[in-house]
Amino acid sequence: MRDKTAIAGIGETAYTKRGGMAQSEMECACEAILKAVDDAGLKLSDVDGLCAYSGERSVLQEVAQTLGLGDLTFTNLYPGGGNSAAGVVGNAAMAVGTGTAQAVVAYRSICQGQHPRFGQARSGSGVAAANLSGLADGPRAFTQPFGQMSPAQMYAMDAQRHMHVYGTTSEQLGRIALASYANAQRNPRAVMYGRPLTMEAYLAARMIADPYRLYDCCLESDGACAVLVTTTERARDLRRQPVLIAGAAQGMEKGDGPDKMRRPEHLWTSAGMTRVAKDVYARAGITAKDVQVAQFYENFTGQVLMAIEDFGFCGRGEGGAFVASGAIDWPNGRLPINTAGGNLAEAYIHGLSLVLEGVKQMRGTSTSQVKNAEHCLVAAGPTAPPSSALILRRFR
Amino acid sequence: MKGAPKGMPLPAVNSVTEPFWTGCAGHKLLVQRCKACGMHWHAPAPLCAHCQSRDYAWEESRGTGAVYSFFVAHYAVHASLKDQVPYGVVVVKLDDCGGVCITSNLLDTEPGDIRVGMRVKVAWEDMGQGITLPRFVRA
Repeated sequence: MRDKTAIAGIGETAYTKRGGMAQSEMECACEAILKAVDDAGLKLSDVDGLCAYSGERSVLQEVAQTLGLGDLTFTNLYPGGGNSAAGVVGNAAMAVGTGTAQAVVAYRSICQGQHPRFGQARSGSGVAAANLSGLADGPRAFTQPFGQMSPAQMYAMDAQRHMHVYGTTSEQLGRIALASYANAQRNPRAVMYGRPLTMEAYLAARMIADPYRLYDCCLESDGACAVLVTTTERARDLRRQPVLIAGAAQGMEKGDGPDKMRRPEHLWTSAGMTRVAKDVYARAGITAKDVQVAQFYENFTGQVLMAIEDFGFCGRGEGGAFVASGAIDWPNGRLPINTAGGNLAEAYIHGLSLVLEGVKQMRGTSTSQVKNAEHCLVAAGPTAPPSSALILRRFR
Repeated sequence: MKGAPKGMPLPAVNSVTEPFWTGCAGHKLLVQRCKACGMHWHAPAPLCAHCQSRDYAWEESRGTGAVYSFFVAHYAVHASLKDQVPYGVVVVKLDDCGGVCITSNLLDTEPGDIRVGMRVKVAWEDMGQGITLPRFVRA
């Protein structure tokens, strides 16, 4: 599969703060998909596959009918949330690579201003979030009764553990937020464009779930984006320079899962992505030293730090020192990350926008372009199994 | 705020978790132990994830352990929590029963004083509707 498939087109709506989008999620989904097809120089009738996140409210069969797509030969949902961001593209590549479909679009449309916010109390299937009535079921029956109600709270406990075991500090986590905000100042499309962040402001911001402060947490945004995958052979004759899918991987490690209490001890201080990292490098035929730029899904800064360790850019427990050294800062760091501003400062489109930024890096069109970058890693869903990753390669 | 947040959803009880909650109602902290391989686990599950045996026992824990990790909620994720933040949620690693982890609250400790490694022991809170929650206090 290495380099046999490519991203030929990308499309995105404007990104806004939660509540800023006048269009519905379905309109946003259609706009992003039409733009991705047009970007590739294909006709809508060329699209014969769709990949979506399992939580997508603009469900793919409705999108297909609304857009007036032709016959579809492949449809797929990736399980989970932001962990799907690279996986939907990996699944599209598998469909194309096996000849199941010829041109597959992966998309995500999410307007948290129009629907329940991720950062509010999460309802179990039996719990009405509006009034917390009903009962907590599944793994939540052993967390919600004690007041663990949101993603920030759940993920904060892994960051707390990493800080305890390895001495990781708030200032080190802050470097991840600062890197994203600095990149967003060069990206006029970013929600936080024109809103620079200093370490003083980061540290002074209100606590959300200690040790996580406001700027450790991803944004809540409105918007949609889409990615079109086809064969490299076809993509080289299309409008845009193809971006090669050198490798794709997905999965979860033994013992990981939604019940965080049951995980083996080492997963408390890992993003649970060491296997995904090993697989994606092997499939691309490279190692961490061949990666010049990376997009790490930021649910929260601590999970980015642990993912940096999982992907071998530094040793276990050295993530804090690595980010504090300036290694993740554009343009001179060894590994600039989240170069459009990422989920923290560009927009939270459930991570798929990170794939689009990876494509821009490989096309040479990023607003924080890393010079001579040959490979971009996109790592999705730290501490949110099954996670996923892509190695994108510049086409020569 | 010291203690546990009030008004949180109570647990749904099913065929797998019923012995655990019945144990709590009798102020016994029960942990599943596989009779085939000896593995312990919490939260309750229908089989041993190590050897897949469905033959398990409910072993009573002494209820002592140490804080393994925690967070302090400052942002109220629901309107009913606005007057209750900050509050702490801890994961306690039990001394016995294979050192399984259990999510709970410390009833006697200010959230700002919670630390990893703090010694704790179980304390029971009857919630009504037949549910008793295992909380913890400093040991």
